[in-house]
Amino acid sequence: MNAVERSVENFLAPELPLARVAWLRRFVYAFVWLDVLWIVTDPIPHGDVPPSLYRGLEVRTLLHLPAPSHDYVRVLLAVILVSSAVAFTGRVPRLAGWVCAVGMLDWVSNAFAYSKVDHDHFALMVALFVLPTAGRARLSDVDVTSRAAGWAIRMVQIGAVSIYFLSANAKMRFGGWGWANGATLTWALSRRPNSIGPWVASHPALVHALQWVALVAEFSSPVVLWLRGKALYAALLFWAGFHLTTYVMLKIHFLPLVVCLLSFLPLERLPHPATLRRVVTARPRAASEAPSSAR
Amino acid sequence: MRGPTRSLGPYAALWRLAVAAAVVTTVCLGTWVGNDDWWPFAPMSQYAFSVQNNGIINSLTMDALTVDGEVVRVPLSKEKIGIERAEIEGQAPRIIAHPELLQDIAVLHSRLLPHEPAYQVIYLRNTSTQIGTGAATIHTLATWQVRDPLRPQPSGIPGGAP
Repeated sequence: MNAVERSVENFLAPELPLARVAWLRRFVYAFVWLDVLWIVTDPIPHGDVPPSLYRGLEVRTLLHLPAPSHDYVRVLLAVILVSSAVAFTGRVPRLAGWVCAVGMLDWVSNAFAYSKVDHDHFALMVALFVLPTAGRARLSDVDVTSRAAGWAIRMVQIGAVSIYFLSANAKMRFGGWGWANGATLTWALSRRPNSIGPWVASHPALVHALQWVALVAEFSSPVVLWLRGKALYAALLFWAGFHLTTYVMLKIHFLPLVVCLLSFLPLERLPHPATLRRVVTARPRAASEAPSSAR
Repeated sequence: MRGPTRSLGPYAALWRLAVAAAVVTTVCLGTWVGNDDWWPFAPMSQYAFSVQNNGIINSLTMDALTVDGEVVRVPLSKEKIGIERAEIEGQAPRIIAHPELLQDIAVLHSRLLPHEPAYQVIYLRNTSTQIGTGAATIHTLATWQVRDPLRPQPSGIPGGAP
């Protein structure tokens, strides 16, 4: 393997603990329940919408997914809830994970098949399709590193960054270079007036400043893929604040993306019986290695 | 202290590289040249359009004359009538071209809110508000006399790909 191949491998499939995949699965599959029961709930009423208002999507045509009907959406919901619950436990991770992934593809594409497509689910869809590829992973696999795990984690990170970076690209494509100096946020605030929204909307200079911050941050987001330590945490804190702000002002939360940001964190360090045991057994040895003068 | 490392064989590495390249390329092309039909690789276009500082904000609403003779606002939300305002906005050009699609709003209303007075006439309206002055004008874009308001049947217009 030459140097270029090695650096590509280290970037796309770094050696990461299987425990991080195990933890990320916990968060992602628990989030699936939240998503289908609380956030993307349109597919159930869509089952009663006459087919004339169904517009479909290319992915649904390719997979021969039918126009939603009353019973179909209810069976689909059950399939997603059961498969994500099994995948949450870590059992049969490939089978349960892929059933859940295809089920969610059907569910979310149903929600978007009536002429309103959101872009907050891209990273989650990536996560649902790549997490099964890492195979069996336990929360106690803190010391077992795997490139398959690293690739799955990296793909989720790339999915999350793609949303930010391409949002800025889309603003230039559809809104033009003057987007940040326009009144798009004013428009959004006027549609969903709440809390400090109307006050912000009445200050055009503030609106422009917020739009510039969003645009610059989105364009520079790919940098996050190379950040480490404090710089990485600072960037993640910024994005958490960004999503909190849009939630407070616009009631738009982008939670499906936020849950994928967890892939940037060393989740394997979360307290778990296996990791706690390791700390306890490691302590006496660490103490005895220190010179007596330092005790 | 590090435990064992599981490396990737040549095929395992190759397909992962290919999938990563394909996903990144497709999602970039989706935003650069694609459209909503490309979902999950559709353009990341929420809030991407530009609004002039002294421009106009358009807002679609739907009203209905009930069989009781009252004009009510059609509750366009997934919780109430089962379809969102944004979905109606996306289909507005279709509805203006084929007002009989509003028959299906009456059907949906009778299915999901059967306890409410039935719709007999449905209006699709647009409110244009001037940013700054706040002056608003309302236009009716489409009107539909519901067939058999108490037991409305679907329009039968085919759905499917745009």
